[in-house]
Amino acid sequence: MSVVLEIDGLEVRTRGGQRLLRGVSLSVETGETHGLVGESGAGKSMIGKAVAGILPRGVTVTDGSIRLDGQDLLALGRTKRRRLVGERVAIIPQDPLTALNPCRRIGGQITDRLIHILGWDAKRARLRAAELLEEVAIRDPARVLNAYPHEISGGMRQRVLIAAAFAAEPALIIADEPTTALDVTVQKQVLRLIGDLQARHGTALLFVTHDMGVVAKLCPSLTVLYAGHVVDQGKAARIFGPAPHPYARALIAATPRYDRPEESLLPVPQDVIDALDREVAQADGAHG
Amino acid sequence: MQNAILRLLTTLVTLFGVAVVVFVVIRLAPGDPIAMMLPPGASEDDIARLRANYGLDRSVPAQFGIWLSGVVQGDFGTSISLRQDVGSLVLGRLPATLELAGLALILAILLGTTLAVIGTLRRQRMAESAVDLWNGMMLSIPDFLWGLIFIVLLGVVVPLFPISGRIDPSLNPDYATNFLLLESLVRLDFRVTADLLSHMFLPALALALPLSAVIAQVLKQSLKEVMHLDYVVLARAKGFTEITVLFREALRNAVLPTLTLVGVQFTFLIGGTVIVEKLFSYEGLGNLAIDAVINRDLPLIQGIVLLFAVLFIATNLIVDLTYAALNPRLRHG
Ligand SMILES: Nc1ncnc2c1ncn2[C@@H]1O[C@H](COP(=O)(O)OP(=O)(O)O)[C@@H](O)[C@H]1O
Ligand SMILES: [Mg+2]
Repeated sequence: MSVVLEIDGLEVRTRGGQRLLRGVSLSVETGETHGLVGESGAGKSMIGKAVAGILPRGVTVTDGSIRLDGQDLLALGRTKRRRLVGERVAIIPQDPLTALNPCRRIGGQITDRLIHILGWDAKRARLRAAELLEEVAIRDPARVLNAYPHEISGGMRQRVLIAAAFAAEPALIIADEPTTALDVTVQKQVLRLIGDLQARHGTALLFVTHDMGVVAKLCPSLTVLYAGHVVDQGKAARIFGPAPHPYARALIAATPRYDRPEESLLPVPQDVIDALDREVAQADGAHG
Repeated sequence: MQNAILRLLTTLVTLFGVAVVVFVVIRLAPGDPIAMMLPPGASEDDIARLRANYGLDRSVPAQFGIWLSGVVQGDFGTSISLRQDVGSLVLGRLPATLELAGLALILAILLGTTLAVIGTLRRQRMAESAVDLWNGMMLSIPDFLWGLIFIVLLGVVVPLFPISGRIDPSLNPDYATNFLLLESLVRLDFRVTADLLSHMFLPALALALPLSAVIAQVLKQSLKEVMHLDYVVLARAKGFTEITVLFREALRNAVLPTLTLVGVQFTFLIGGTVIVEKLFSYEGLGNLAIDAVINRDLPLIQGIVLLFAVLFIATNLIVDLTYAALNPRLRHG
């Protein structure tokens, strides 16, 4: 199996020098689903943004490499990099309510990349969009293509965004907490949908979430992130097994259960946090 | 439908209010229109007769009643100084002012949008500061001062543009309407178009500069916010260039919150035509308004003010319609 995405020693800092990612390394193979977990603020989204080249203003990659299909993105020129990422990577965003342009019809928002980046003709792109909408179980594709975002429901918008991500047959999809903004029943459907499409299209998936329950279902391998630091990485079977990293165990314990939502969540214990902070400080010391 | 009726009613009430206020105020202001019409040696009797002739011997409410009953029938009275029908005088001048204000608005939008886009696209601090500096300068100099500056610089020192009138009298186009610019375009009479534009350019630019700065500032701020929204960032990740992202995803959404303000500022621009038209001897409503005030021509002032009020209301209506047209959430079906 070939590697689609290979991140090595990635350092991301703010202009003020704050380290948001501390030497993160991970790789995703063709057709594989790799989970990226950690508490809110751990830097999960920063990894996706660094790959897609959409880091916020004032935040930059200061060290390390990001290889996509073997090409070092950080060594490419801006235009080349933008094109390569546009062709090979797609994002399923977190919030379907803000990720669609309220002033543009759905159809154009799915086909624009096919037409302008991949060079398809408009008719073919339109057919493809309709096809994909059917794949994500939207019954009336023609109507949805002509609709504005406010005319369809939140769950449907998320399915539109999933369709848009798969439409261009990217090599890698980064799904950044794609179900967090949805209610529980819709969450399950959307997860199943992403899993199905991913298997059918053979797309590599970097699945970002803070929900260990989702990872357990979807991801054969994962990376556990704490404060921009990889604290554990490997096969799900091991991490969900008898002896995981204490932080991973705490995250698993903190996972809400769909069958027992009233059960109070366990916070990550203070001694685990303290141990992690020592670990991170030590790694920083070694790093310089 | 209900909305439209409500709107029509409030419009009528507004216009009525404007009419009452103006009617009273111009009659309280010092200066006698009749005395200004007659030669210095006129007798008391002559003056009294003329006053009666124009109905100025009656009480203000009675005068208003007479005026209003005329207006309802489409009769806006007779200009005292020009001895012509106010309605046809004012409507005859309106096209010249509309064309001037329209051109100024187009210039302001082009200039303001360009500045806002440059200030947004160029990430360097320098570009943004330069745009801010330029805006500050445009905002601190009012339209009539720009007019004077242009007359001196581009009319006298380096005479690039004509600085007086609407059109070269020798052209004298025989047109059906007084919308000379539009009609010359429709008739493909480009010699006339060019001459009109060269006459309009400086006054239109003087009116446009302050508005362009307002547009640039508000739109730049709005763009800055919109450029961080999820769908814009997502479009960037799709591989689109910054400029495509700005025009396709951000601009329309950024324009929406700026429309109302631009509408208000445009009514100021229409107000600005009064002095600027006078400066450039441009034969529009504003120019007519100043003469009317100097001559204490009460019916004419009344008619012009009412027409300006209608223009302001129409501007608001157009802003609302544009907003609805640009925002799919307000559209039906
Ligand atoms: N624009 C920004 N500038 C500076 N720091 C930021 C910015 N956006 C996020 N951060 C910081 O980066 C860290 C990682 O954020 P993020 O990747 O969004 O976390 P998450 O794991 O929840 O996705 C957080 O501590 C956050 O405060
Ligand atoms: Mg995040």
